[in-house]
Amino acid sequence: MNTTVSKKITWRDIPQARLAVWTLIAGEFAIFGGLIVMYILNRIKYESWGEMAQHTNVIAGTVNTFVLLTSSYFVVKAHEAAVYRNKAKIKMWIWLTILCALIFLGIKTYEYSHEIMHGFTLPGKHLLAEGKNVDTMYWGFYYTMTGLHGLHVVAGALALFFVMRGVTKTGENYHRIEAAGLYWHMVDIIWIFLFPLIYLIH
Amino acid sequence: MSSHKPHGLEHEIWVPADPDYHGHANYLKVYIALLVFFALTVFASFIGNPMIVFIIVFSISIIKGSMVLLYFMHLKWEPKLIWILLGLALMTLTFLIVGLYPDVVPVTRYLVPKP
Repeated sequence: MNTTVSKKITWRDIPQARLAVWTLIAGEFAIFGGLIVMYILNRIKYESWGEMAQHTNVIAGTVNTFVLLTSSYFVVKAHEAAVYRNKAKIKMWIWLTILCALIFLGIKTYEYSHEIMHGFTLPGKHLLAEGKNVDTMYWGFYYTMTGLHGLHVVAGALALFFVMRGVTKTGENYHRIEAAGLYWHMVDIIWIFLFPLIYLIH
Repeated sequence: MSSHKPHGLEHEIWVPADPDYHGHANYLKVYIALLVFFALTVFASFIGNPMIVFIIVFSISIIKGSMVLLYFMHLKWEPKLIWILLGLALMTLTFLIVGLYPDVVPVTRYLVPKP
């Protein structure tokens, strides 16, 4: 890819906030990586997981993936605006990102409500009572992975909001935009892996 | 430093205020590439065999994730310490997989043939 500047910094020069967020991201990758690997191993082991995956809403998942990818672009533009100390553009890009977060959460809530209404809950009592096949462990993994990811979306959106408010009010600590942005990109990367596993592989 | 101004910021101050700013990839190009890979992922899901679908879509996910890491998160320009941090996370994950694999997927091979 084309770059305009290629200045490399040493490990001594890394700003503390950025180093802290990278450390957090490394931990998050281990947590979500563990969940994803366990999901894959169980998916290989149990044929029924493929049947269960057919009950997820592929269109909703696809739209949500597009929304998160777009939000990642908005955040990196906010970082670029922060580098040039452009408060108006920081506000615009961060608000667009928060809008994406709200759309994502709205769609996810719609999905959850439909799945719960159809009996795909953790105990799955209604479907089991009707003699229907329901693999509750699949839905346990589904709600754990997507729910934990959803909490990260909420945390990321809140972090971006408060950082943006602080930066635009005081005109200081512009580096926090990058730190909060890094966290948001991590949320996007996790979804990049969750989406095909949960929605597309039947 | 190049005199090229980022798209949309032509009328703003030009000198980056952060001394360690790594520069920027063409974010729009990266975004479009991500959307193309995303479309490929969705199309690949129409292949019937789940194992082939898994291999294709997971490979594309690795490419997409790497692009976000390298260009949007600027990992490409970060010092080795950050790479080591992420490497440690991957190592932990590998230990986890190796340790838990026999518990999740039953081992069906025997050192001594079953009588």
